[in-house]
Amino acid sequence: MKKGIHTALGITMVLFLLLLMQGHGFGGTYRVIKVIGEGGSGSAQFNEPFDIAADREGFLYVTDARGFSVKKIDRDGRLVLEWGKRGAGNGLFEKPAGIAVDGEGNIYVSDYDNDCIQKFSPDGEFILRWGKSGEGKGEFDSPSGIAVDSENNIYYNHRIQKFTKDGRFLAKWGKKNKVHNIKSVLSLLFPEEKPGDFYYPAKIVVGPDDRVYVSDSYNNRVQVFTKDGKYLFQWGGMGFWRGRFRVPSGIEIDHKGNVYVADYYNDRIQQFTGDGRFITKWGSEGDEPGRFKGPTGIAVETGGAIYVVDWGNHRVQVFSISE
Amino acid sequence: MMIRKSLLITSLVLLFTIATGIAVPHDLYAGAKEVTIRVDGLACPFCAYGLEKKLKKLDGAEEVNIFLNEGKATLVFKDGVSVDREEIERIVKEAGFTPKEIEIRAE
Repeated sequence: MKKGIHTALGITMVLFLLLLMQGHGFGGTYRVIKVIGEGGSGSAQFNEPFDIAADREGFLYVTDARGFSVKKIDRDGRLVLEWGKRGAGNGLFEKPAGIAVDGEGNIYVSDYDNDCIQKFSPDGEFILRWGKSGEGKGEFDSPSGIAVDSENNIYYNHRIQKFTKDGRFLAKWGKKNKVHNIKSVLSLLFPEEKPGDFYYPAKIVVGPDDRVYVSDSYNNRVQVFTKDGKYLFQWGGMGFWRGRFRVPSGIEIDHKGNVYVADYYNDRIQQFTGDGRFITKWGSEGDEPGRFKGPTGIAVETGGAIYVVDWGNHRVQVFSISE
Repeated sequence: MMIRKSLLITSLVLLFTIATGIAVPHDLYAGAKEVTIRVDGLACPFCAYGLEKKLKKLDGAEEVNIFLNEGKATLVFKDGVSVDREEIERIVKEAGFTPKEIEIRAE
């Protein structure tokens, strides 16, 4: 009897250690370079910033959800340009959410409340708008994340929809499906649960190889697809240890193909290789520099600096990472 | 005889239908101005924005605020709008949350 208990305890311990060890890796060190916004020295101020994107010239674009605008800032956090005000017409926003920049410097913004995508020039001039509320092709139900691939095609998530840069519908994939929380915690035992389905995915990014990475927020995982929507693999699962997530939100890829994930409830950023191996993590709950209150967006600027939208602290924090 | 009976039954059914239609099936609060809803499971911007979007679509809703830390939503209605408690509960549930207390205040 005692032997049985000891064996069970041993197996439990081994499983626990395996869970903790999963994703173990050795990363570089990070440090805060700057805090932009509330409490920070940068001149730009935010009211519930939600997402961020970098262009090739080193400018950053931030959706200011409660400010009904897009803010363009330079590397030092100075406000260069702001456009938009509250409304439902062209160039107006009710809740600007996801943001992405294409290879020509044009800006795409999804509007969560107006169920549309708008396209702007780098100077904030309105170019195009498409989408309406609904479930059909080219229709949206609270769009949040948005991304652009090497051919300037646009991806929007919730389910995933793909469009040309002119808003012409190309493809869609995925459906709403929840991974049970227990299976998510024990993803070592259930590694490929409900592949290709999503439960409130927040953000999306396209890698240098045109693979599409989706933060499947309430399934607590990252899923990876080809640009045509073929499921490739996933990683994560619910948890607070390394490589695990509690509502992954913003997702970004650097020029080396490393993936950064804003881990909302864990108040941290995690860095992975492109195939999902854990590299490093930083951050915890708080309002001091380097801490977060719900990070929702992330961008890597051409110089390598990492910009994190710290939603609950109404600011953007800038980090460097050395190897 | 049969025709009279049929007419009587038809009339009764018609009257019952009309009466059901006239009866107020919901808790309507005329003249209510502010509503506070305690919501279970409200914790992140995605939740907050989703609920806010649905509440904004309520007839006469003028202002919607979500307080994540306090787990509550507040609504301000236009003057003269009747507030329907059941409709509010339905919308909160439809957004994926559990409504707890709903406090309705007149001006």
